[in-house]
Amino acid sequence: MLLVPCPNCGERDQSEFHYGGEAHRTRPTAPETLSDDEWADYVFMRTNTKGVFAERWCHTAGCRKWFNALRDTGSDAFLAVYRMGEEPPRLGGEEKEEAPADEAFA
Amino acid sequence: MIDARARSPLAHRAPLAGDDLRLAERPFEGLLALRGEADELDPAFGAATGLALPRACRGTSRGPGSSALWLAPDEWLVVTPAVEDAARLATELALALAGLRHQVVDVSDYYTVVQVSGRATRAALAKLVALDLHPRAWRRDEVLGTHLAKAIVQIWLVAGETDAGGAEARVVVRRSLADYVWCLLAEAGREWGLDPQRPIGRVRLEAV
Repeated sequence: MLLVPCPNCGERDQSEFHYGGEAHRTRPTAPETLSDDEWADYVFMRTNTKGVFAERWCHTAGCRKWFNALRDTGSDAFLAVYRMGEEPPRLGGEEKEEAPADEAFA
Repeated sequence: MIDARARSPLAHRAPLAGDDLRLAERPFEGLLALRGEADELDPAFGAATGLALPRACRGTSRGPGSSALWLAPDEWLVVTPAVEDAARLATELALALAGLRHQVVDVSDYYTVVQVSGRATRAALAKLVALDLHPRAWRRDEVLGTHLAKAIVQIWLVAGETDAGGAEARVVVRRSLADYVWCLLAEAGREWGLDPQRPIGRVRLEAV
């Protein structure tokens, strides 16, 4: 059971939440000028980070509000939650370290 | 007056009673959905209803007639004992909150309320809810927005074990899922002697 820290309701079971994918993706201002490749990049391509990842969650079965969270995709630990429209908070210390396995794909 | 043709969502279900657990519908409760900024609405809302807007998760405020339940930081459910009260209160609130950015909608027809009472109230609900329902975690007058299997509900503890009538919780559920929730609660209550109920819809009960 994964506990998700909702900023309004506190820690709740994951089953109450809806996952919204990667956060901070901005829609292109003039989509009609994009090439197919650029549009496909916006629509489909995500960073698929191993390590600290900014993502969106909605507390569907509770307060029904969206919020952003920083989660370590390796350990599933939630490191921070913050409001929609805000910049991700800076994390201090060891949590910031990237997983070394990423280099294998570089 | 309630229209004589009105039919509550659980009109086809008779109240169930077992050892230490009872299940009944509270048909035709008046429900108003209120949205807006808490700081902005609170004075006018208080003057019109005598209630303070609950500001935090789980919060409720109870008056002699109506009560207000916290749903979200900018959203509340006002519960009145009867449908006609909700219609009257909606008009009063529209006048009281005129000029403030807000929304009041009479949602009495959208939901119904299922009353769960008896000593096994917490134990029966705990079979369906992922939250801690122990008396030290879920106190009287606290409302929990969560889900019972597939149905999104608000569970409101209106009376605790130490109150005169014993523990009583109210489950606010969408009309279309009322029968599903009724059958789930009956299934959870089999241990305390509630009769099993056959769901009338196509949604199958999950293993409880």
